[in-house]
Amino acid sequence: MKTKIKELRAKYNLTQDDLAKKVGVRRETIVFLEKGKYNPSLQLAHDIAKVLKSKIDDIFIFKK
Amino acid sequence: MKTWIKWMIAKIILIGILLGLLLYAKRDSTSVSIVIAMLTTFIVILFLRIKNPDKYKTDERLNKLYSRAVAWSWQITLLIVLFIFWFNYLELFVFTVDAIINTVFLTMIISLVIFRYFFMRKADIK
Repeated sequence: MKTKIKELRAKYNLTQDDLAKKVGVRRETIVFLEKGKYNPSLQLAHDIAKVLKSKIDDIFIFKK
Repeated sequence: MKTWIKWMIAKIILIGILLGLLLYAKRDSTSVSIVIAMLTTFIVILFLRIKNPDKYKTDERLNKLYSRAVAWSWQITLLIVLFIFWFNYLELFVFTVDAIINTVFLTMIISLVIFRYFFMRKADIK
């Protein structure tokens, strides 16, 4: 899985810590999400999409 | 009041009640030592959590990893209990009740600490 969290975060001038606080997770979770090493729950994915003002499909890209 | 503080207080009260019963049942220096050690540990943990709330904050990822660690800890403990049963049944080794309780208790705690350390370093589990 790839994510565009880092790019979108930069677009809105958010640090990893800022995003983590907004969605209610630890900074390490955001780090692992950006690296594509953690699969978030639907709730978390939705919260991130809401903060980054994007769709879930645009942020999380699953490879087949 | 934050949820974790409420849980911490509830746990301390419950343990306080259990320890109170223990002290009432068996008044000796070992019981008193255990009570003092456990109370001190909980006070220190509470103090650290209040002082550094961000460090001890959990999220869905940590809860998932911690649940897996607990599951593995329980499996190891069950295995130990199984060994104790067969050793006792086949009379290979005679266990007292105190020894069994201490073994199970220590296995649970030590295995939980080890598995928690192992799983917390991972990004995710499947």
